[in-house]
Amino acid sequence: MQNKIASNSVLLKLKAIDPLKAQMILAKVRNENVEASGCQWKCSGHNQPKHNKLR
Amino acid sequence: MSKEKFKILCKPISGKKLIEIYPEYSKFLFPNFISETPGNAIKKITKFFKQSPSINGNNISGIVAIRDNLFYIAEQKKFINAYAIVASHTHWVDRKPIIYHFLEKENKYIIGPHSINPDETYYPVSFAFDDRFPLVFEWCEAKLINENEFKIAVDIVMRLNAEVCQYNYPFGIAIEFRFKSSLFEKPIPSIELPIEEKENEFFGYSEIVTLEYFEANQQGEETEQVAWQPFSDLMLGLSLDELEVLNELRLLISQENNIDAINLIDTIRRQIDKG
Repeated sequence: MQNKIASNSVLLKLKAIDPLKAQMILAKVRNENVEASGCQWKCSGHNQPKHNKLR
Repeated sequence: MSKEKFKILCKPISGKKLIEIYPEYSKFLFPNFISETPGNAIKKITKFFKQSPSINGNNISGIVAIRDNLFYIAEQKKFINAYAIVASHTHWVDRKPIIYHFLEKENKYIIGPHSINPDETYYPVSFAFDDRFPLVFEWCEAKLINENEFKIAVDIVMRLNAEVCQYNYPFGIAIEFRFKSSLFEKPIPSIELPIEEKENEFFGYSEIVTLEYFEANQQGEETEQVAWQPFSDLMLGLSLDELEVLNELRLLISQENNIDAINLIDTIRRQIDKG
């Protein structure tokens, strides 16, 4: 319920601003939640003891 | 021990000089500035900011501050493409310089304590923030980086360090050259993986491939994010009120998982389109 109220509040604020900027904001936040665009580097397997034994 | 003499490391350096200076220098670096594993680096960030960083890093004031400083310092916005904000860490306990070497045929980097060629020039590419000048903790071979672009990029790193070093953020800044022909091209997400096959000539080092290649070929591996993109919200040219709406939207969707977050944004977008 609270989330719905917050969602409506954000929606109203987005409607109140320049439509191009509202789209820009939505696109920006959407991209941030697509992993590859928010995250630049990753590591895998380096915290495992198996890897540390190599050194 | 005075660290002033290590400022030379912020410039391209001959292998001979690097071999000479590194043993003493490494005592400055470890473990205060550089964590021994990616996991420890993330723990340090989480402890410092009392929350773990999200994928986009917007929940961490230090990341936002570094981005905003980059925005103000960079004379041209394309220069910001040259950076990654990193959880400074190493994978090697040997106190030897960590070097990027590129395998052109396989389109991958091999990173680790490679043998240093005294006659080769090495470029500093990863830095931890500290007073007076940043502390270098990784280098690449000269052929991997354009000299003129490097001069611009490292000058921005020096100025960024001067602005943020007072806050002791547990982050570093890396010059993002991976898989790019120019530092100022858009960053390409990548991943570092340990080389565990004993018959591999680089056994014990790591290989770096693009995230796109990794995801197409190695599903199911657990991964850990260790760097965040450098782009400030200020680049959008929004007013203060509009920036506030942006952050409210982020807060709203932070309560959802990624798929639900994207669905919610798409729903809002459709409602706005409807008018």
